[in-house]
Amino acid sequence: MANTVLHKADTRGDANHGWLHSKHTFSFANYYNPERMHFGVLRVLNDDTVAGGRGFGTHPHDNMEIISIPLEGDLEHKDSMGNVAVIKNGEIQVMSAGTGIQHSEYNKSTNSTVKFLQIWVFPNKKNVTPRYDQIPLNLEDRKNKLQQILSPNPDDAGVWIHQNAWFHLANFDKGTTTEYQFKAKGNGLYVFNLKGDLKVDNQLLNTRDGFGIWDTDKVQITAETDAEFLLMEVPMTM
Amino acid sequence: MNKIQILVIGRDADILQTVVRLVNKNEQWNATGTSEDEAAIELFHRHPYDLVLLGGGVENDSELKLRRIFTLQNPKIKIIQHWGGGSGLLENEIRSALENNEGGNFNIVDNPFN
Repeated sequence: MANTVLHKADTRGDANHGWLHSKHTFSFANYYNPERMHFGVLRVLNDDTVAGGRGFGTHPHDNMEIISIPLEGDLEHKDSMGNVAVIKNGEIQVMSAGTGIQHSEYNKSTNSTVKFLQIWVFPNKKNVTPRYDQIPLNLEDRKNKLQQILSPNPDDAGVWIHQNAWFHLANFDKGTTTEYQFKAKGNGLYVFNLKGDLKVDNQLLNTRDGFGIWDTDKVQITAETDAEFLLMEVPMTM
Repeated sequence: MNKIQILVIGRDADILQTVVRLVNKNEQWNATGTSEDEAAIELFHRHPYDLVLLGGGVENDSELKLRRIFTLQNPKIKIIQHWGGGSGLLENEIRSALENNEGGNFNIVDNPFN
């Protein structure tokens, strides 16, 4: 029998700093809820909107896999490994913090907002050499199908991380359905519905709802309206 | 009011300095940082810390040694791995650790279903 957890969009932590409006699915910064610490090794899922010209100053990370997915606008990145890059909608960025990195992220535009997802996953190895990667994604590859954007394997589609995790993005027309088969035993699946109405097994998800399911090996996903969503399969224990 | 005393141990001097500065932005917390195990042991011996943050680059052997020495000296000491993250996750993990009463080797992923 599968276990599930539902996180409705309006129950997320809400932090509005003026220049930054962030919705936290899990405890983060001033949002602290012991019932919402993580889903398996998925520790952070922030839905961020950053004002023009503003951003996150230089700050450190240790031993964390950090994935950024821009949804609108361009994000400028600089880090202590010497990487200077702009990530755009349609791309994905990954950093393995390992023994430690420092970086900054700013909205590249001075007059329009940037929206992006910040996702942090606990790694399966400590103190790895810090690493940065960024790749473009073909938007057509997620039309009415699941597009793999992350895996544990450097030779597989998408970026890779130090964790037995697989992420997929999808953009489904109303009525499209698919079965998702778990890649690894003991993993759970966290579905973050970006837009539209979606049914995962018998659970209806509206825009920005999150739904975790584990102790199963497959789920049925059906778009009740046109829908965009992110699937994150992660180990439930370290 | 007495501040919460926090010892930060990390190998990268720049990151250590940044983490100490970020922790000290909270007026109720007072952080001290060191990159050396022996200095950490000496500091822990001389000061009553409430929490120890272990940063990136601290090798497993060092971590085991430090945990053993610190918990022998203070069985209630809370020792956690920190993940950095500016004022976001870092502050949240410290609050989480301070509210957990088990001490010692608390780690939220020990029970991911909470």
